[in-house]
Parts: sequence; C-alpha cells; structure tokens
Amino acid sequence: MPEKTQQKGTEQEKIIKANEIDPHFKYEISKVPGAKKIMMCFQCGTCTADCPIARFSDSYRPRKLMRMTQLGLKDRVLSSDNIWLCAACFTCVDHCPQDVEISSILRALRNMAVKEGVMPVVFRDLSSNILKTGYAYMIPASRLRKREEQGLPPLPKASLESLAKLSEVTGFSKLLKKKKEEKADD
Amino acid sequence: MTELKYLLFLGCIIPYRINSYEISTRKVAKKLGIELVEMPDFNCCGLPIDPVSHDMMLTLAARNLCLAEQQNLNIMTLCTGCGGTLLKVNETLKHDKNLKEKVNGYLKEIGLEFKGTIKSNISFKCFWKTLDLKK
Repeated sequence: MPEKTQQKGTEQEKIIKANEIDPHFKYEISKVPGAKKIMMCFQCGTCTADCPIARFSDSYRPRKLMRMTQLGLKDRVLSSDNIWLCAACFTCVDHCPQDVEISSILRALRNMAVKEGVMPVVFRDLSSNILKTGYAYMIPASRLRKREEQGLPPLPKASLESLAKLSEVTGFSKLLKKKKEEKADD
Repeated sequence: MTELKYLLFLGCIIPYRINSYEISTRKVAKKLGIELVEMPDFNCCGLPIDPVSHDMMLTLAARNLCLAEQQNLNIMTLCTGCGGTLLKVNETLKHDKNLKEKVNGYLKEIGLEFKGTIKSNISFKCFWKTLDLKK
C-alpha cells in the first residue's frame, strides 16, 4: 500500500532516477557519531507509528526518511523540509527494535543540510544570539530589572572572545557566513 | 568533592521566561543545606544549535563542564534540555577517546581541557541524593 504522501505527490516526484542515487551517502552518514546504525533499519515502521509529529503531519515520516537515506537520495533528503520537523523527543529511539538512533541520524542529516547551505531562520537567530550574548535568547532589560526586584543574583556574563574563537575553530562561523553569501546572491 | 555544594547552571530559558523555577530551587536548596555557587562564566549548553553543528554543540557543553572542573564542583542544572545535554556530553566524552581528543583540540585554543572529573545532574536528582545522604 503506498503511503498517503506518495499518493499526493506528482508523477514526477514518484519516479526515482538511477542518477539521483548516491550509493556512498549512507556510509557518509554512518560515520557521524550517533548515526552508525542507519544500515540496521529494516523498515518496520515503529518510529512512524509512535511519532507524535507524524500523527499531525501529512508529510513527516521517519521511516521514509530512513529509507531515502539508505537508498542514497541525498539531494531529496537534504533539501526536504521534513528533516527539520523532528522535535527530538526520542520516542522512536526508545521504541526501535533495531536500536537505530533516528534522532541522531536526523541531526546528522540536518548538519549535512547546513553544510549544503540550507538553514531555517530560527537556527540562524539562535546562533547569532549565542555568539552575541552567550545566551540562546536575548534576555530583555525588563527581565533583568525584575530579577533584581526578586532578589536574585545578577546573571553570569559570557566570555564572548572565547565563544568567537571556538566558533572559528569548529567551523561554526563559516557555516553561518555561507548562508549570508547565498542570501546576497538572491 | 562535597555533595552539598553545586555549581548552579541556569541555562537560557530559565532567566528568559521562568524565574519562578529558579526562586523555588534556591529556596529548596537552602532548606536542604545545599550551597549553590554561581557560574563564573556562562555560555549556552549548545542544544539549540545541535542541528546546525554537532561539533560546536559538543564544544560549548564541554566548555561549561571545563569551567566546573576548574572549580572542582558538580553541576546542578535546572532546565531539562541543558541537563540532558550536559549529562550526555559528559558521559560521551568520558567514554569516547577519539571524540574527547577532537573536542580538546578545539578547547585548547582558549586554554581549557576536558578531563572528565565532575558530574552533571538535574536539580531534582541532586535534591534526591542529598535526601538519601541525610537518611
């Protein structure tokens, strides 16, 4: 039985051409820490059945993403919006009979998508907030005043120089710049 | 290392949205006789940017753990996200030598080194342990 999403897709989307398939993609993913067991998935569908996101989404199916990764549909997986829908609740990881760490594999896919230049806006904001203040969220001045009124000690400050240096050596700042350049091109 | 002294890791979301959680934690800690030390320096635990760069997330979490190692204190986290991240990164780096080497390579740039001498726990687990000790 074809899945709901497949019925909805156009004829073009259904056809997989052999030149789309990258046979090394699964090995590339399995090298990432935590994503070793991608080849263990035997498509039982427990992850999709238990997924709280799949229950409310028409397109997010973890099983399908695992199969696409195994097959090597690199471009389709990395450009898909679906890989960004996982909420990392780890229900699939807990229930998987083959111990596949689906959340970690999705994280690996996301990391790879970012390297290709795909990054949702929210992660850009969070990243720039961390580099600017050390906190993932900009804490407004009214909050800080309220802290004082409540008798709480002042918030610890972040050492921004070391954060900038770390983002430089881990290649994090490069990833952020990548998207910016692309945006300028648009 | 005493069990009654912890480095308090606030996280980002607690000062941003849920001050009440911090206040109640401080009150409970006081009642149990736990001393809470403020972080000398803080950065986000890294969880929000895990999808962007796993390496950066590991490094950010390891940096917080290093700061606690310098003071020789265990970490008490409030937010479950930070708690999970610090706990997981701490355990992973303790057992995975290759990953530890990689992260230490990054941390060397700012003069820190992850040794794996401390523990990180979420607040209620710390309270639980203290109650067990007092029995």
